[in-house]
This record gives sequence, C-alpha cells and structure tokens, in this order.
Amino acid sequence: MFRYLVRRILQMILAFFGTTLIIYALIFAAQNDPIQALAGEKPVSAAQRAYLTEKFHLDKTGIGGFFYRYWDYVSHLLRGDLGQNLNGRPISDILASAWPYTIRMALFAMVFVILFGVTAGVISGIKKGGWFDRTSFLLSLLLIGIPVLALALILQYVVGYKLGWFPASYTDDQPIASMILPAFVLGALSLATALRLTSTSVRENLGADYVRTATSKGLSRNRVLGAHVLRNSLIPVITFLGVELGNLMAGAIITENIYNVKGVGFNLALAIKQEDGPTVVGIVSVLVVIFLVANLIVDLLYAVLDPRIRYS
Amino acid sequence: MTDFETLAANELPSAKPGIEGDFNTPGQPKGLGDSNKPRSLASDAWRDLRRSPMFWIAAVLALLFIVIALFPSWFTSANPNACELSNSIKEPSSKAIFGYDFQGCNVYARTIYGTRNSIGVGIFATILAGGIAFIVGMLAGYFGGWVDATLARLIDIVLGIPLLLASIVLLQRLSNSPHNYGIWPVVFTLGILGWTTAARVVRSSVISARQQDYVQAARMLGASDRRIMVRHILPNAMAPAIVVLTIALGAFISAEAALSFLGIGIKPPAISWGGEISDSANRFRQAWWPLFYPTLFLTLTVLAFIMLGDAIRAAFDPKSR
Repeated sequence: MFRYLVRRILQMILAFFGTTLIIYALIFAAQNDPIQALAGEKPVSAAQRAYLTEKFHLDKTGIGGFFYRYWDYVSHLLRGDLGQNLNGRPISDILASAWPYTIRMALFAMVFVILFGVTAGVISGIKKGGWFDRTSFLLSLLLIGIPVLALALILQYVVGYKLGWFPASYTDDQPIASMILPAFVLGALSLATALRLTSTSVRENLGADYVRTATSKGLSRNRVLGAHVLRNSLIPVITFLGVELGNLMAGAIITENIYNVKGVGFNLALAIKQEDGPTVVGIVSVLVVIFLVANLIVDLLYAVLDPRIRYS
Repeated sequence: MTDFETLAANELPSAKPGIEGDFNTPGQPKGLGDSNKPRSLASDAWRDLRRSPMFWIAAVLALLFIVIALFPSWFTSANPNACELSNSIKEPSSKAIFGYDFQGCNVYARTIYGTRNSIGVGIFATILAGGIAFIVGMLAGYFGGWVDATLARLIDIVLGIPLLLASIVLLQRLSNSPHNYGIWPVVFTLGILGWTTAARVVRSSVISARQQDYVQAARMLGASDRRIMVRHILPNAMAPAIVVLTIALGAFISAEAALSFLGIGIKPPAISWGGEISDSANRFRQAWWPLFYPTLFLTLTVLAFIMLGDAIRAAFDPKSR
C-alpha cells in the first residue's frame, strides 16, 4: 500500500509539472510581445507593463529565460500566490469570494446525481430490459447528447421563465430555490453517466459467481442484493463520483455564466471577456490542480475500497 | 462530454487487451470455430444496426446537417449578412420563417450558414485528433517499451486537463492575432487537445493485434514494420476508434459552441451557432426565436452524432446480443 501511495503521488507530481508546463507554454511560447498578449487588444499602461515585466521576469530571454519564468510561475502557484489581475486586485481575493458559490453548486449537483442517477441506475440494473431500464437509458442518452449550453438555455426558458417553477437566474435572496436549476444543468451529464455506469455494474455483478453462491446457499433476495451486489457494484460508481466532484467544480463555466452564479467559472468567463490574461491563467491553473488532486484521491479511494487492486 | 467518450471507450470490448476481452471483436484473437461461421463481426453489427430505429434517426439527421453544411444555398436564398436594423426582432413570417434577430438579420439564413462552420469545426477537428490518435496509439502499442511508457504518460497528462479549460487558454493566446482565421484556431485547439481517448483505444487494439499469428507470419515473411502496421494491424484498430471519434465529433461541435458563446471561438464576421446564441441569450424575454433556432440546430446535430456513435458501439458489443 505504501509503495503504491508513493508511486501514485510521484505520478501526480509528474502530471502536475507536465500540465502546468503545457499551460504555461501555451500562453507564452513564441510570443512577440507577451505583455500585450496577456492584455489582449487593450492598451497597456507603463505601470502595468513594469509590473508584468517584473512579475514574469520578461527581461530574461531564450530557452533558459522560459524555464526560469516557468519555475517562477510554478513556485508562486505552489505558494498560493496567484498575482494580481490587470486592475491590481489580487486574484486570490477574486477566488476567495467565488469559491462558496461554486462549491455549493457542485454539492447540489452531486445530490442530484446520487438521488436520481445512482438510484435509477440500480433499479434499471436489477430490472434489465424492463420499461424502466429502456426509458432511463433513452433519457440518459438525451442528457448526454444535449450540449450543456443548450440544456442550460432550454431549462432557463421553459422551467424558469415560461413555467416559473424556479427562478430563471441565481439571486442571493433565494439561495436554495434559485440554485436548483443551475445545479441540475451542471449535474445532468454526470447524472446520465452515473446512471449508465451503475446499471452496467449492477448487471455485471448480478451474473457473478459469488452472487450465484449466495443465492444457492439460501439467502433472501434482498440480502443478496444489499450485501453482495450493491456493495460491489458501487465501487466504480464511488470512484466516478469522486472524479466528478472535481469535474463539477472545474466545469461550471457555461452554467454559471448563463444563470449568473458569481462563482469561479463566472469570473473566468468575465476575465476572458475583459481580456484579462493574468486572471485567466491564475484561475485555470488552480482548477487544473484541483482536478489533479481529485484524481489522486479517487485512485487512492479505489485502492482502499477494492482489495482486488494490487498495489505493486 | 469527455466523460461519456471515456465511458463509451471503456465499454468497447476491444479496449480490454488480452484474454480479458471477448472473442469475435476487432482486435481480439479469433476463436477456433470462426472459420465455420458464415458471417463476420462487421456484417453481424450491420444486421443489428439496420434494425435499430435510433441508428436510422441519427444517421438521417447527421446526413441532413452535413448536406446543409456543404450546400447552404440549397436551403436558403437569403443573405445571412444582409441585416437591417429596421427589421430588429420581427416575428417569424413567411418571408423569414425563423424571424429576425436583434441586429435585424434573418435568423433562418444565419442558422443555415452557421451549420457550415459548426460541422466544419467538428469534422476537421476530428480528422486532426484522429490522425494524432492513430499515430500515437500505433507507435505506443506497436513498439512498447520506453516508447509506450513515454507516450502513455503524455496521454495521461493531456487527458488530465479538462478540454474546455485548456481550449480557453490556447484560444486566448491564438485569438490575439490581428488576422481573423475563421474556424481554424478552434479546429487546431480542439484537435491537438481532444485525441487522448481515441489514442488509448487504438493503443489497446494494437497491443492485442500485435500478438496474433498472422502478424508473426507477416514478420517472418520479411514485411517491414510500416507494412505490418498499415496492412495488418491498422484494420483491427479501425472500428473501435471510429466509435470513439464519432462521439468526439459531437463533443467537438458542442465545445465549439461553448467557446464561441464565451467569445473566444469562431469570431464575427464568421457565423456560428454559439455566437448567435451568445448574442441573444440575455434577451430571451424580448424575443425567443433568435435564441431558439440556433440552440435547436446545435442540439439536434450533437445529439445525432452522439446517438450514432452509441448505436454503433452497441452493435459491435457482443454482450448486448
């Protein structure tokens, strides 16, 4: 177990450097005027230019200069110092005010996924080929196939505006009711994927030898399902949900933008519109790190839950 | 979207190398009784597909949108760029069946002409991603050893970055250029970031095909590595990769719309569904039609390709028989 842990963490460190290097290279490589590139088409004032030259060590040139600057960026990132946006506001301040919204929305979405996705997946897995299975399979395909952008707009118009069941966009006055639509949209894709995954997993386990043994030694059907089938079927589902929590936090750009939830994705979209390069880089870097850590935790969780996984 | 792609890839029987995978699927050793069987896997799959209504609906829709993309002038004679502010948010009528948008442009004409860019991004990005996936997957699977180890790490790293986030960063940089290159920055971005799932599928098909007798025989007859790869191994990797790439095509179109919606995808004057949606999303209370029709086209197109990929996957999956 310990060796597995060490190896997995080493892999993650490698992935961290690879990922940040790619992101950094995407932004700065082969750039004539990196400062102008960060600021987009807006004019750059002398003070901003001086700050950015200082911050990114742009006076150093060549390949050596690139890695010097990359190292500088990574070490700042690791210390949690994300720098300032073009208006001089610390990016960590922006993130601090945005996280509560994003986390709340991701947790709401996760509740939807577990409540509907996993439950429906278990039912359709047990009653394979029944009407419930076929209906839920078709519905899940629809949820997977409709782009998030379209789903967000359709639900906003139909459920939020025409029917008026829930507020059409987020307001702080109704923190729960107005969060339901955006959270459902955010979780829709995960919900459908979780449904299919659970259904497949339950079905595979129903045909397993140990289930036949349990049935033939006279256990009741409920006991077989509860103690043997479900426990084993939910292992892949739990790991999937773990990855998804990271995904949900990183994937809310479109949803937050449409429903006016002032979370991390909303600020990212705002920074893109205002052509605020440092903020885009800072937020994307943080989201990617979250994604990597979520993946690591899930892998470890998987190893703990499923003793069949060998650690060597 | 990438999640579903990965899930579909995992459900492909040939994604499981060696004895874990099922017989009679591409990339797996053929069972002994096979020579007596009159039908191949492909014809079996085709028999299944022909009877699936979902496949036909998806295929007809996908074909229709491809025709619209190739020949938009067959479907409308109106000029999508002829906009008059005096027409602003006029309701659908016989002259403009989808009405006019806020700028006074013909929504029907713009939606039809937007099809070309959206489908174009999807298809060209899929070709680029597929090309990278076949090269990387083939090299990793065929040569093994340190080549495989290096490429597998590369796949892990690229797969570890969410597609939309990485695209935002890259496009942010590409879109600073003073020229407007139309759809190509988006094609390039999605192509070089979206190949990983397909590469994994190709790699595992190649690994299981490499050990088969006919490959050994070809090698002993003196065939070069290149000939073995192209003539003997590549056909085995085709079917599963095409399933994943069809689903990826839908995902790319969806990602393009999201990027254009955020203002960094396809930029005006080029027309795209995402751009049209972005222009009218905040004002749906005044007029629903400039928002509704591009959203409808986008949904149907993405749905068509994803359903198509899923139907083909199910047909090639022996467990579903």
